[in-house]
Amino acid sequence: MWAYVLRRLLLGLPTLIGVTLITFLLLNVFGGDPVATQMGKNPDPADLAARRAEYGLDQPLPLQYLRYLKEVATFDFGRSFVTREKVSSILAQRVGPSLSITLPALFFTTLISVSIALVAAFNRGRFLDRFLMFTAVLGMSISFLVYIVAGQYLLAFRIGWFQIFGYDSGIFARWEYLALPILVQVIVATGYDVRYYRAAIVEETTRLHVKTAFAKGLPRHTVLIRHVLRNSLIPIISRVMISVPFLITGSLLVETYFGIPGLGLTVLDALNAQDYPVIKAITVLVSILFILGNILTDVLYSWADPRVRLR
Amino acid sequence: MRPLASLLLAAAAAATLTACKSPPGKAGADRVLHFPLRAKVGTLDPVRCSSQYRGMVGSQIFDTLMEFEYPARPFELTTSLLTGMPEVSEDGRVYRFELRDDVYFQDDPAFTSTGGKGPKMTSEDVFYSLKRQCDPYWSPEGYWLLQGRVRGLDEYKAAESARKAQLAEEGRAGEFRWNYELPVEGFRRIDDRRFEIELVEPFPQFLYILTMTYTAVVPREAVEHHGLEFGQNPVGSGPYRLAEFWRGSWLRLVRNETFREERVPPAGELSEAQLAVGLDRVAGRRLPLVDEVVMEIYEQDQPMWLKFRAGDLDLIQVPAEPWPTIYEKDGTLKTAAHESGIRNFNLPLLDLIYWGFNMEDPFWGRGENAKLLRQAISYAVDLEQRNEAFYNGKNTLYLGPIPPGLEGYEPGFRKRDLDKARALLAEAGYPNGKGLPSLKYETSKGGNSSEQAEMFTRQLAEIGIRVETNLNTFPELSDKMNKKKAQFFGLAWGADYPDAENFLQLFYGPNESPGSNSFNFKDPEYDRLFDQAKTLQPGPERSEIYARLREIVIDEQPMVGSMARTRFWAWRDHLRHFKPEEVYYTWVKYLDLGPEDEPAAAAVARR
Repeated sequence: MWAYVLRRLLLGLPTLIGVTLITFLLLNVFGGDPVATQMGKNPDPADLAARRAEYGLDQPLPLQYLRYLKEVATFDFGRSFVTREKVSSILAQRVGPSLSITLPALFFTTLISVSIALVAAFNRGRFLDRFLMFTAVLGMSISFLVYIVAGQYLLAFRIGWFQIFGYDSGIFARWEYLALPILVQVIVATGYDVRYYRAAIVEETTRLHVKTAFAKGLPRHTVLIRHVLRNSLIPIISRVMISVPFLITGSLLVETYFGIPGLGLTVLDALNAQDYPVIKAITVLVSILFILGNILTDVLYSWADPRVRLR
Repeated sequence: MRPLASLLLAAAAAATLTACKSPPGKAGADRVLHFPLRAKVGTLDPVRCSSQYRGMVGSQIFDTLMEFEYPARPFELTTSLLTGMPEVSEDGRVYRFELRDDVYFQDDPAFTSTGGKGPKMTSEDVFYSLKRQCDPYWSPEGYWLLQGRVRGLDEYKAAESARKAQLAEEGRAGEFRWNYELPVEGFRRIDDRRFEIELVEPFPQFLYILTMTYTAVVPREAVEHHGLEFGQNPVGSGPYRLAEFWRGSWLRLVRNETFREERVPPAGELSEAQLAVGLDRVAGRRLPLVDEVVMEIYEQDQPMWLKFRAGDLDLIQVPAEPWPTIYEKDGTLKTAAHESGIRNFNLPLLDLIYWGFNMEDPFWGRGENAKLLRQAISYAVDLEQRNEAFYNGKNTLYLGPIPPGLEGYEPGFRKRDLDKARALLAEAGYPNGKGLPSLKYETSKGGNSSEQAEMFTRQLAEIGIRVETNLNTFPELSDKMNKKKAQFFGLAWGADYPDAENFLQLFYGPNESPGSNSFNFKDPEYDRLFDQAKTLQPGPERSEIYARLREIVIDEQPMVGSMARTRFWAWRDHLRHFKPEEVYYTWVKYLDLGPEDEPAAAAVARR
């Protein structure tokens, strides 16, 4: 397995280089001048030139790209053009709040969606199945923003169950602020996931070994857990693992509306302000997580289904 | 102790400790002022306090030499760090200052030589702080305010920049450190507390500049200790110090226990304006009045509005959407809102919302009959419709570059006149816009920019002018303007200080892009008059010149407009002594929390 992982890691390198190349072209070649807006109202042309030189923007493009590759290799992206903080400090401060929302949201969404999908699949064609699917479609048809606005108004402002807005840096105290954003995220994602998991589970319930298990008189829950769920794990793993890179980037809407100082907001601010070091760092980070996520997915496949061999 | 029990105890202790760090609860329920900010503040380094919101926070942490008398309007200057108003030489070029004897910087671990205790402020700190605006290492954004003003400052900057370039040429760029010891001719130290600043020529607005956060005084030791992260670890001498800073979410300021001995004036010395906001109830009390200020950042209106309604915020700039829920159409507060404990003040802002032409554009700027075309556009736009649609009809419409409230302002605005616009268009040789190239309109993304652009396009289409709109991020828009590539653009300018000069300089030739004259307007007569006015003290002579400058802008029409916003501030009735102001934010130290019917003695006795 380790040889497989190593090989996949090496194969990931060209992907990463491709990502850096595209990012570089978009920012350094086609992007505007990121310096002018950072130097006040009447910037001195000499200061602008000096700042461009400091950022290496006066160098030939191949040299600028090599500098970028060096940053990727050392994972030292220098300082933000805007706040002049170290990019590593920004990421370190922002990852926590993002993960505080995305991890629990992913966990609860998966748990709830798989459970509902199992119930729906085993009642396929019946009223319960139709009702659950109707609710799921309804849930995913409503805009994310509507959930946020309604949640803040009804659940937080009117009923007072949650905080309307804000964030707390304390490990425990933060949950008072995170509960509503997580709930909204779970509600939105559950609709999509239930439909996906139900389709996968329904396919599994039609297999011969499941019919045999029922014919042998095994209890319903045993068939459900041992024979259906276990064999449906591959699509579940695929679905969960594809979300992994986005766990750290957070959710822009949720973070903006609930005032969570996560990476979603950081990405948006960096894009608006042409804060290249931050954009580059996050792009590379997400690419690396994609590559690692794919490798981990394969490893989990082989764990979930012994027929899958890692070669 | 059992492992589970100790774990639970540890968790409870941690929860208690961390809970203390949260933005404190309901507004008015404690000695904490809850204050919303509507944009992020990435850095709090005063040399970069260019945005309104950085200024809001920076004014609490840092001190400037001068400040505005709260809550006087018309604006009145008063001293902040000084023992009295500076003495000005007869020729108006030399200012002599004396620092108060009780100004200490906030305690900070950066002060290693004193074990973290903040040192006393000296004349050298003032010079160091102003010199920082020259040093590009800090990305200063306010040098333009001092440029060409202080004797020897430009030369100092040029000399250091040249030395840097020289070292870079020799491949020794890494050795360069900005030399703050190098003297500036116009900075003269008399002793630790007394100093002089000499200007190149009289500049009556100089004292206004000394109220701006850009010129706040900072301690060199702390700046050098924190380096580029001074903006995240600010150390000043203001009424509050930064206790916690979650960029993008909230920050907490706590009372600076070493703040100088500044008090609310005694009962007999309060001005009428101060009496009107009820400062007599705390006459003689030491500032600041509240212990903590929590500033939360709201980039969306809905959560901010709900938090205010829920009583979690003490004050708010009322956003446009919920505006009708508490205001009558004429801008007065609804009775129900007043009865629910909301109070309000409608603040006319000193700002200029306009559309501008790039006067170097070969067609719309310098082309034959371009002036007639620009004038046609100015008659074709419907400012009233724009005001009604996007600003609840509450902006002040006016003509020219000087907003209401400043010397040189003239009431009245250009009403839409399509017949006149069509006639001007025909006179320019483009009847009904026939043969006229489309106007390329650059504006920024976000807010309702695209809707505003749509309205503008529709209005000009009525006289046959086609508009192509480009929505840009703000850096993209700035880049285009700095490089003179924006043919026509939509922007706003807020007053840095309350003098029309701050608006008139937008059309001064030497300030062309990348300077503040984004119009690249160059008119020898205008420049001559501006040069003449800038050294004059307020008076009839200056007013006459301002009026003439305004007329030139209206006639040449490098801009179309104008509008000044009205800001609708609302607050809960337990917030005391509040009268909003947006030219300065040093008023936070005067705010207090307490019931409206609290007897004055109780308010003074508290704390």
